[in-house]
Amino acid sequence: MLGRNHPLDLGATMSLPAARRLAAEADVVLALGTELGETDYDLDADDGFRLDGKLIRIDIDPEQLGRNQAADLAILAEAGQAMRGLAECLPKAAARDGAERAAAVRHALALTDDPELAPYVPLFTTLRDALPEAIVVGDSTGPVYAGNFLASMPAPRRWFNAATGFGTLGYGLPAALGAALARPELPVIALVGDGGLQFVLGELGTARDLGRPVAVVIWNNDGYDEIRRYMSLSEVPHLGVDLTAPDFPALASAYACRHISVTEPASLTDALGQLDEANSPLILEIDAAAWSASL
Amino acid sequence: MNCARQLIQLLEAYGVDTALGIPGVHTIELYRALDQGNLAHVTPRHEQGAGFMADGYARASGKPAACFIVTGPGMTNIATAMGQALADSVPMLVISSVNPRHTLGRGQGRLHEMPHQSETLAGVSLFSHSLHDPAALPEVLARAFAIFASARPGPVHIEIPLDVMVAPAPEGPAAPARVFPPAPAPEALALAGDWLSGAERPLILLGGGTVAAPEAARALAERWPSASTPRPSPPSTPRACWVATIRWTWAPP
Repeated sequence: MLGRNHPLDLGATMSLPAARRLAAEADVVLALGTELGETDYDLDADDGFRLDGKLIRIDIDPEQLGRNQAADLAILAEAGQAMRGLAECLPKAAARDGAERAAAVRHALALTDDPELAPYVPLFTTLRDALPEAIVVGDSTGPVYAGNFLASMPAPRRWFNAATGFGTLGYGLPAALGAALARPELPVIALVGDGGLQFVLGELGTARDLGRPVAVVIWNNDGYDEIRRYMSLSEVPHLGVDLTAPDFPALASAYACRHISVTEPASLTDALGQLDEANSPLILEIDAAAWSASL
Repeated sequence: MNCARQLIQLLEAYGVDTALGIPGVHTIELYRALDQGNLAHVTPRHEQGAGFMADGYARASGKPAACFIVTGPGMTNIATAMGQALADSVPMLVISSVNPRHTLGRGQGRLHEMPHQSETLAGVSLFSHSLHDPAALPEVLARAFAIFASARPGPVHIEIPLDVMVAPAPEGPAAPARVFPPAPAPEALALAGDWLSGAERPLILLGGGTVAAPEAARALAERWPSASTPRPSPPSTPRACWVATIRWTWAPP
């Protein structure tokens, strides 16, 4: 929202303890155009997101002014006008240290040191370095959940997915095609799992019809791994989550798409370098186990 | 000029340039009209794909796309995509067919017939409207686009009975209204400004509703610039900061 790696931007980390402490300690909170909803602020659904300071809510929807967190001041307005108007109401050059405070939270979050995020850190640095201006459209899949913490884009409308809120599977590929229609000048990456892609395999045909070099990055772990993990945490046997992924090279061939197997970050960089060599979708199949083992 | 043709002209007047759908027997007249207009059309392989494509189109561009969907199974197929768009405030215009007016509610087992199609889709729409009079088409589209331009957006469903789709419609759509979203009350901004000016540990939470205004967000957040040189900060002096977090969703263009 503020630009790639802006010093004041903490991303969507408000479900994590260090960011939550910052929120609870804030004496005045300005919440704009947000539900303050569970999948953004309370991913573990433990009701641990607290705002103890004064809360100013600005929203274009009057009902949103009252949901989830009680406001002290509620303003019905479109956010852009409100932000421009508020900037006029504030002193111009009070030297404060927001960037230092944000940096302290980032340090405490230590996202890049989190073992659960470790496979995904090089994935996002590779995507960023290879295609810095790309729109990355995600499905409900491990790397996208991680990317909601890790991805930092140069502008809004470059990172979106269905992994929050309603939380469908099968969104990533067709939504990426919609993004490619809307912004033909930008590279587009669909970031999907093997499970989610199988909800919408036929849309590979639509992708071929479009004749655009859309990248379809498949995180292949032969099943619904997020649910496998959740079953393990909940001590439920792995029932119904181990799938046989399709033969993706054969599938790519059937739909006249290109396919490259990826086992580590360097080969992903090489593969992304071939994206524009043809006007057809490029399926980049990451073997999740091999990728993690390569790090 | 029939209702289907007028629909295409109105969509063009509202700036819609992309239609997504799988043509069927029930939407054939929409496609006859589409062929005479300037909208680009893309065919997904399932109506859910049409909805997700419209969603991705809107999130990437800030503009709604139109979906043209057949009665019954087409609408139950797109319902999931409409549910996601509703949850994430993504504008989407879903135009569907429905059986002819004189057959509605009779349960005769006609092609694609389902009981209460509009009510079924109402749960994943901002509103679901049955167009029983072709003369009402400009009004219902004005409702939809007023929401897209000035309120929390989401999917809107308009179903057109097969007999209405080919019924005569008034010539020449009026130019769409210029719509402005609500501005904040000046006294409310002044109060918010007072509170924020006096804050020692302020925090900004930027939701999807801010996505159309990144420059304004940056300018506001940077109103308190980071100190460029280290300075003493005794524990008794609270230090202020602006921190932003974003939900990666939607705002009107």
